[in-house]
Amino acid sequence: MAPVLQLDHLSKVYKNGRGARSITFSVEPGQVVGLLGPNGSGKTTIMKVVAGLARPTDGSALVFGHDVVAEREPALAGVGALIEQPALYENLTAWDHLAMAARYYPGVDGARMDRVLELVGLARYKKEKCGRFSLGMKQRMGLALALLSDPALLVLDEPTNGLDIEATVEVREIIIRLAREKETAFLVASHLASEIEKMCTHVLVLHEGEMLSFATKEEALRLHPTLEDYFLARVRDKKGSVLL
Amino acid sequence: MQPFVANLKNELFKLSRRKKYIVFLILGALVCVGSALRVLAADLILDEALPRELLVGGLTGENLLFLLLLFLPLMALMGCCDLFAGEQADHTLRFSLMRPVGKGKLFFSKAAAVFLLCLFDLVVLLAVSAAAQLIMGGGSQGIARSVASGLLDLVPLAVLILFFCLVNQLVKGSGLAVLACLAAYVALVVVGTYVPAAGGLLFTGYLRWHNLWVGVTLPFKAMLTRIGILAGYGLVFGSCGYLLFDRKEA
Repeated sequence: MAPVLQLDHLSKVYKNGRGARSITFSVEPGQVVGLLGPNGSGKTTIMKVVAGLARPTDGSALVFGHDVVAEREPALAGVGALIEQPALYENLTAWDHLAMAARYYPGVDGARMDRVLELVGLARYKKEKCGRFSLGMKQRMGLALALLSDPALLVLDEPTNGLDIEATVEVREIIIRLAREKETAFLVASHLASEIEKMCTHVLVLHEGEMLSFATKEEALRLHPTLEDYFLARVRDKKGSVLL
Repeated sequence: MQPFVANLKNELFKLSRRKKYIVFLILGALVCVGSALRVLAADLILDEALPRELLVGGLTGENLLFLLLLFLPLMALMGCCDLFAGEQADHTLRFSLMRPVGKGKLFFSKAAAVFLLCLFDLVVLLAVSAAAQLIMGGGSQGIARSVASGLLDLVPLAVLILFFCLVNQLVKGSGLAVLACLAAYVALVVVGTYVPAAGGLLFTGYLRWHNLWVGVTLPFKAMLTRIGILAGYGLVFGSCGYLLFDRKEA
């Protein structure tokens, strides 16, 4: 099966020296790849490049075979993203946001907009301005915008940030269901290993901008009881090799 | 073309939802009508009883100067700063950067949206001026010519919009962008006014370029040079602005 996303020695280094270096992995349809790493490990940087928000300093990121820099339009046509805080205009309503986003995707109509609002639990608030939304509601709105075009690849950076327990479970269920039923591929970042463990099929461990490992969840859990232990073991391996 | 049109519609929608543009348009209309009322009031106080046609006969043409040198550049400046530096500062630029639309289309659709905003304001304020002139007994003299002049002056205004778009790529923060655009515009107008030699070379010197088109015979050769200068400025501002925008990250 052709990969939905293919990163080949992708590097994005900022002026302060932070970022991600030489990241290589691919994501196939239906896979949920969890990016695991502490703050500043390069999770968001990788996602920004895939979502078209940042330019790589080296290497390439291909979405459906299209380079995200050189072929932006075909590459981003099948990508939905929620990176850091959702990009919302305070003076516009939830419906306005969806209507604006829908203009970029010819197949998206009012029924689909209602459907995603229903899915994230914002149907009652569609005529309300986003400036009045709580943090959790803004996060739900960001999810609705990411889901709107029914993309084949969803890039979600801390998707449950600011959500209550019930909504966190709902989001997790949405991710698992879409991956199973529609073969949607996911790139999900979290600094919580337990959250990644509950939804991912693959796990990518990042530390200080370096990729330490990429494995299936089963492989990771074969030798370690939890993904948290797996992550700590990978970090210890790296530090040990540096000391040697 | 579809992504360009989609983004253009979105930019226009965003501008239409900002109340300040409506407020400024109303203020502009009040200034246009007020300038006629001022003349009529002065006439009344001085008890001159001059014919109305003499007093407000050239109202539309007189208002054109205010529109071209002050009102429309201000609208262009605010529109550019809202759609570029403003969105960069509050991270809403991501909304369109994450969509399947090329950065070139994004950049130029934003500039086109500001241009259409200026066109709309110009048409409304010329209509208000013309209506005021007719209602106050100034007759219809000069209205058609003023409208044609105003539309002709949209060409240098488009270059000014591209200039503001470029300035917005050079500074960070919406406040600083407004300040930088305003300072640059005032400086260019002042230099163009007080240094005649530079006036012909600066694009701001052409903001009332309908004056160049007025005459018994059109000075075609001289016009060609000026059109070339203006087109050159437009190309430089447009391409430099796009190149900087293309490197922008959100």
